[in-house]
Amino acid sequence: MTGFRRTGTGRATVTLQVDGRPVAAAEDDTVATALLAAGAASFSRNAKTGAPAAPYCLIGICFGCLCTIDGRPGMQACLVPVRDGMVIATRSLPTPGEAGR
Amino acid sequence: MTAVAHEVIVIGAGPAGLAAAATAAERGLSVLLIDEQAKPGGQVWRNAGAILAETDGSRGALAGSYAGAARALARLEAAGVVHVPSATLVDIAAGEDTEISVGWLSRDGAEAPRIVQARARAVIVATGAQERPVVFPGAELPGVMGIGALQTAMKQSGLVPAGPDVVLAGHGPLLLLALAQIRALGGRIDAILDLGPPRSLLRSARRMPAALAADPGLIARGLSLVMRQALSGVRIYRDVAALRANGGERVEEVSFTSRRRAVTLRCNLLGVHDGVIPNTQVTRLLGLAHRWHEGQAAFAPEVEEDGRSAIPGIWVVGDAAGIGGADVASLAGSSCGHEVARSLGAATGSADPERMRRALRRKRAARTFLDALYPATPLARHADDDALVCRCEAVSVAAVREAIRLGATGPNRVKTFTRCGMGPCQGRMCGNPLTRLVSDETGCSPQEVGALRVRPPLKPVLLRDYLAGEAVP
Repeated sequence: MTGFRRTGTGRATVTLQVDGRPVAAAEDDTVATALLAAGAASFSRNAKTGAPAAPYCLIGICFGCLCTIDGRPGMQACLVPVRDGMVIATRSLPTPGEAGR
Repeated sequence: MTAVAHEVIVIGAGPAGLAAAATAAERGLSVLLIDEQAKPGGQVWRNAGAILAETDGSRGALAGSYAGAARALARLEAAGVVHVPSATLVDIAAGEDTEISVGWLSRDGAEAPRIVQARARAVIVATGAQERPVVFPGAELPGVMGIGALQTAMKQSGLVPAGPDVVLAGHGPLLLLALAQIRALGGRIDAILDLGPPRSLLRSARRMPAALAADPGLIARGLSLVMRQALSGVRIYRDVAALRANGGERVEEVSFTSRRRAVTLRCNLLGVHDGVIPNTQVTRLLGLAHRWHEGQAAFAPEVEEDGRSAIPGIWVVGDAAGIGGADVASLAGSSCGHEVARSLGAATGSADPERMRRALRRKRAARTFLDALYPATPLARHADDDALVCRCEAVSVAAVREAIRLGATGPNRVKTFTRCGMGPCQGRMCGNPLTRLVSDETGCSPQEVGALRVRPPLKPVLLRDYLAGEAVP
C-alpha cells in the first residue's frame, strides 16, 4: 500500500501495538520505517488542514512522521528505534481487506 | 546524577562529528558527542553496524558507501568519547564567559525524556545536511518522499520500492547513487523524471579537468553511475517541468511536461530530489553570519577552512559548513579536532595538519564541478501558485507572493503575514524555498533577502521535560 517491501531475512522481530493492533517490526527499524513496511498510509493529520501527513525525509527534518508513542504525543517516529511492546497511535493502517492489495 | 563536565561537546555523529570527536579525544581532551539518532553514523553511514555485518546479501549491497565507517566508529570507541544517542538539541548559547552552554532532550533509556544541560569550552557543530525541499503542487501528499528518504529506508530497514508505479523525479549525484542502490537491492523503478533544467555541459565541462585532477575517484564513480542509469532500462523523461502530484489521501498520479509535451503517469510512490543543503538551524540560532553559496543555492555559515567561526569556542565542520560529501567531512572533522585541541592547549600530536589541509582542498575542488553539473532547479520551473511553500501551516506560493505584494520585504515579514515557518519543523522545510522565492519576486539577491530567524527550543519539547531536567555541572 505504501509501495515498500522488505528485503533480507533473519533479522529478529519485535511486536508493536499500532492503533490497537499488533504489528511485526524488525529489531533495527525506526517506528517510521516499521509503519511504512506495515503499510501505514498516513501517520497523522495536519493540525491546520486535516490533510493526511506521512514521512517525506525520514531523518527528522520534515515532521511528517509525528505520532503518539508510549503515550507521548508529537514524537518524530523516524528518530525512535522500535522496542518490543511499544504502543503507537497514528492515523491508519490498512484494514485486513485493503492490506492484500 | 553525578556527571563530569567536558572540554569539548560535538553535535552530530556523522562522518565529520565522529572524526572531530575521536581526534580531540585522542589529543587528550574530554569529549562528549551528542546525536539525535539512536546509533552513530549520521545519514551516509546510517545503521553501519548492521550493514557491515550483513551476510545474507541484502543490505550488504550498500556496503560500498560505508568505506571508512568501521574505522571511524572503532576510533570513537577507542578514544574514549562519551557518546549520547537519542539526544535532540534544544538550545545552545555562547555567553560572555569562556564556556558554551548546550541543552538537549534526552530520549535514551527507560526514564522519561528530560532536558539535560551541559557546558564546554569548545563546541563542534557537525549537524550535516538535508535534502533541499522540492516545491511543487501535491508535494505534501503521502507517498511523496525525498530520494534520500528512500536511501534511509533501505539502510535502516532494508525497505525497497516495490511498486506499483514508482517514479523518481530529480537530478544530481544522489539520484544516480540511489537508483543504483535500489536496483542492487531488487527494488522497482518505473520511470525517472530528469527534473532540472537542460544541463549546460559546456559550463560544467570547463571545471572537469580540475575536478579530475583533484579527485579522479569521484569522477570515475560518477561516470559509473551515469552508465548504470543509461543501461538500467528504466524510461527517462528529459527536460521535465510543471511537475504535479495528484491524489486524494495519497499520491495517485504525477503529471508534468517533458520537452513541452504533457505527460501523466500513474504513481503510488514519488521520490524527489534537488540537491542537498547545509542544515543551518544550529548555526542560525548561534547568530553566525551566513553566506549564500551561488553554486549550491543555499546558505552556509561563514567559517574558516578548519571550521573556526567568529564566535570563540564554536566550530562548524562537515556538510553543515558547506556541502562537500562524506570524504571531505571526515578529513575536515579530523583537521578541526586537531585545531580545537591546539586552541585548548592540548599537547601537540603527531598528525600533519598541512597535509590534511592540502587533501581537503583537493577534495573540495572537485565539488565545484558537481555544483556546475547539477545546479538547483529554478523554483519557477515547478512551483505553481497552488504549491505549498510551508507544509506545516499550508502556506501556498500564491499566499507568499501576495504577502510580498502587500509589503513583506523578507522571509521573517512573510512569516508574520502568513505563518510560513511557524509550524513544528520551524522553517527546516520552507526556509530555503522561501529565501529563493522572495529573491525571485523582489529581485534582491538571496544574500540580501536573508533567512528565517531561528529561536530556541530547536525542536518542540514539553514543559514537563524541563521540569524533569537536570544540569550537568
